[in-house]
Amino acid sequence: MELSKDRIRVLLIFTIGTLIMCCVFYWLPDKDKTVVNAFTLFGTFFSLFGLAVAYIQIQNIKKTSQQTKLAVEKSLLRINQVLSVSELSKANKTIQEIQSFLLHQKHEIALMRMKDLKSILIQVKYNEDLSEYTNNGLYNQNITDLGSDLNNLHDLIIGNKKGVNFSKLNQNLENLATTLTEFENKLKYKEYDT
Amino acid sequence: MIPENFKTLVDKLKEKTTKKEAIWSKTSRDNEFKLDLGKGAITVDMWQNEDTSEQMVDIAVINERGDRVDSIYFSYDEKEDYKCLVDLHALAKRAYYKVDETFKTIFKELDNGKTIGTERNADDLPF
Repeated sequence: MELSKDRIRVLLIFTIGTLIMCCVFYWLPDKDKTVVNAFTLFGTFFSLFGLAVAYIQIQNIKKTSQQTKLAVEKSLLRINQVLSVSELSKANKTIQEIQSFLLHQKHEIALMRMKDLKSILIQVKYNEDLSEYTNNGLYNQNITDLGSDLNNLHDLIIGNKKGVNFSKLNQNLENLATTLTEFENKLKYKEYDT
Repeated sequence: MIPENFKTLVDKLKEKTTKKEAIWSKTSRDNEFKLDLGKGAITVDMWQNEDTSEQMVDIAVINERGDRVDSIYFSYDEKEDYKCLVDLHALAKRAYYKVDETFKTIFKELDNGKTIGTERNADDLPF
């Protein structure tokens, strides 16, 4: 059986302490070598030994508790990242749906799905793990492009303005899908300390 | 009448675009141009009203969440305000298509004294 560092330390303290106490008792004048003095001497040592063991145990518990806290934090982070990956996959799926609805000229449904997509994009923007990628002009450009496309499609549906270029709209959606796929892969293959 | 904040915005955009310090892009509408800013964007569009057949021009402000937060539009009848926006639209269009840069390159090519144009494949000739 392999002994832990703490156990070895405790055994060392006990052995060295007992030896010291034996030596102290041995060097006592003959008249003081009584059973009462022996109990007093060893009793004092065992009390101090008990305190030392308690201190070592408290330190040990503290260390274990810190390690547990760290592991829980890492697990939470990982869960959040798994959820983020799931959100990004959902966004990519939504883009495919929008493209399909536009292709079949179901503009009203496409508009609704575009609104869902915009919500996901804004949600992703506030994801701390992706902040280094989302806090730049390109991602904001993707959001404003989608906002502009949404307004244009809305204007077309209500008959306010005609002439939406669906090729350009599709191109904007493709650019967005590329950006989101990159984010997804960055999250998926990010390395974590275990 | 064009609101004061939009008037200032249009003037500043015109100044920036004239100085070639604004990068305009195209949106999913054929005649709409977009300027991406740090937090949001601005679009300028020109279109024909389907009901009245009037020529219209608009400017819209989009916030960082992609919402159109404010916009104004003018028809051809509102001459002064319409012209103000049409001028901006024309500047944005020229900036997007790099009209001035293209002319500059053409003039440079015409002035360099060398033969211009490219020889086509002989098979392209109809005789």
